[in-house]
Amino acid sequence: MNEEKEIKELKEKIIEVGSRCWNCNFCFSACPNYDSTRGFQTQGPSGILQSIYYAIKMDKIEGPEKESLRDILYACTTCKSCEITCKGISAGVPILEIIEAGRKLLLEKMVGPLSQQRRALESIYKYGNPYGEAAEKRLLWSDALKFKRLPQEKASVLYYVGCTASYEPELHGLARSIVKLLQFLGVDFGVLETEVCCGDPVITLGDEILFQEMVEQNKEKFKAAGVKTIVTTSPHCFNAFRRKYGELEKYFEIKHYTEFLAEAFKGKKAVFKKRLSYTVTYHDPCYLGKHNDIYDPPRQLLKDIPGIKLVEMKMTRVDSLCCGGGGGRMYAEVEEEKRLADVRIGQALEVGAKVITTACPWCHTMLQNAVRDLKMEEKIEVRDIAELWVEALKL
Amino acid sequence: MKIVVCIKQTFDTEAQIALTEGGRIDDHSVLFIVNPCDEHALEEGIRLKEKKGGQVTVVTAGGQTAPKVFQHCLAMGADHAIWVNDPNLNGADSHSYAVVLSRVLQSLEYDLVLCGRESIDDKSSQVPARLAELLDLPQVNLVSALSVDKGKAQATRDIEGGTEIIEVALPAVFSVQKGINEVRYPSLRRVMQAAKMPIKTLSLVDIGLTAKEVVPFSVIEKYVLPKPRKEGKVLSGDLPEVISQLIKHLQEDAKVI
Repeated sequence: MNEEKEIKELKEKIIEVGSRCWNCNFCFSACPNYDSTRGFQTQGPSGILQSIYYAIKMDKIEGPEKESLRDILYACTTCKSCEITCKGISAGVPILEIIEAGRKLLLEKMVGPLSQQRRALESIYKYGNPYGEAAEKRLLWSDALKFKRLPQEKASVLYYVGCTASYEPELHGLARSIVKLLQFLGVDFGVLETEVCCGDPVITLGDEILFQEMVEQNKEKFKAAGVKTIVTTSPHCFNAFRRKYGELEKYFEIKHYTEFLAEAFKGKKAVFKKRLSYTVTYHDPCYLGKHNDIYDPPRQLLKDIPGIKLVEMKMTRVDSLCCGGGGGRMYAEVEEEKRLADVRIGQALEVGAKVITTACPWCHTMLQNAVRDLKMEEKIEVRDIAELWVEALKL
Repeated sequence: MKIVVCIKQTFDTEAQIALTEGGRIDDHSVLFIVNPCDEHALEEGIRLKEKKGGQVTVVTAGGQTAPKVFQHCLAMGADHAIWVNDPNLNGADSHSYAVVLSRVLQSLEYDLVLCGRESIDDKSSQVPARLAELLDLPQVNLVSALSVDKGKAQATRDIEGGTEIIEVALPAVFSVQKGINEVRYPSLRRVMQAAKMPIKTLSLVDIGLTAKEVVPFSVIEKYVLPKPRKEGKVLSGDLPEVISQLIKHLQEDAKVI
């Protein structure tokens, strides 16, 4: 499709869908960005939507205010709370589709993304990950663990580690824990010898062509690996494979690791070797919960561990508070009066949790940074569910 | 307005730099990019073009990665690209580059010449100044804001404790700092489209230079990686205990007191 036609279609889509918003502003009450900023109209969902809608109507996409327009659109964490609220009590406008289309439009016009996000996109193009790390360092997380390397070896399950768990040292333990649990279960699995980014940040930030390039690369790798199932560490990779890759689910079963493990352990009596007497709360990652309706498998995994007392925070499941890392915000500082992850840690402390668990590398990083910033290391710990299982099984 | 931006091809500092046994940078292990400061110069050039109209030409000398690096510049919005590619430029230094760039510029019409303040590899900051001298043009270095009107430019540069605004008649040479702007991101579509745009390739003979005229003033014998730093020591315990440990280390290990 040529560029002009695509831009025209993006504009038409934004105008068509945008006109369905009657500006009732019910979405504002659900928006973490609105809640954590100074509360200007343009910092809430329908305000963001109206900004791009009127920028197109008034032909101001590349006008003198283009940088403000960019900042408005790229501040969204894409948590989906607005869409869920709108569908529940108002016009049912697919707001995220508009934000995604608006970002594509701004990126095509070289107005977006934010400057720090540009580095992430360039790095994905050059090195296959958003962190500017060399491709050959991708498997360093595995340490001394032995597992099949695909596609040279064959397996029925592909464990797709993802960029953050591969390169962020604090999350290497998470990837190793998942491997240990798959080995404990006797799953015939392997990891790609040359894994590359799933493309989630690329499509979220709006580079459609680069995303298609990542899709093609990954599809080829998955096909060559000859697996039946793909298990991901991150809900973002999981969501991209499931919802943005066309018909990938026709050929592969795609599972987030919490879903895969909860199913695999169901009915099996795991022999736990250690009682974990922790008061634990669970933070629902938006891309697992709100985007994919997976709320119970992670909680089931926590309940299975002997000794754990699971307490819920006041904002939970579909009402869960976003950590602030989605929508490309992992790579950029945006205006915030209060950091969402700080608020979340406060909510966890309120219910007496000593451990806040999650099932997303980005949420993990955001929450971990919040604990450090708040100097709460002695009061609360951020752990992933897989790590708690490994501790209880003494693997 | 006719704007020329001088570009250096540098290795990507995000990549791991490896050296060959002979003390050279291993070209196979690194990707080459537009020198980051030059990228800001290009962005400034494109912004001026968008405001005032005109054309942006990017020029580079030497290196074998120019087509890839230029693809990025053209995707960002440069209109023309000129590459002086000649085997006699192997081992070129800032003097050689300035001579080549000045000769290219003498064959072009231009209102202003933009450069980055320094390259991330050599960091010598010499090319813009040498270039201005060779062309006998006014120069303003370390520019953090630039505006152009009626044949004159106003350039803001940071000085200790404040800023200095210099008005200069055009044509002139400006070297820019990173803070001057935010560089745009060209989508992969634009990068792919830019691959089809022509690059004008010239040899030294084409621009009327001999190999002798570009002989570098300085020769790099070899590169050596810095020795890895020794791990630091964390002293723990009560304050008086820590202080006595510290004094002992300063006396016995560091031998500074």
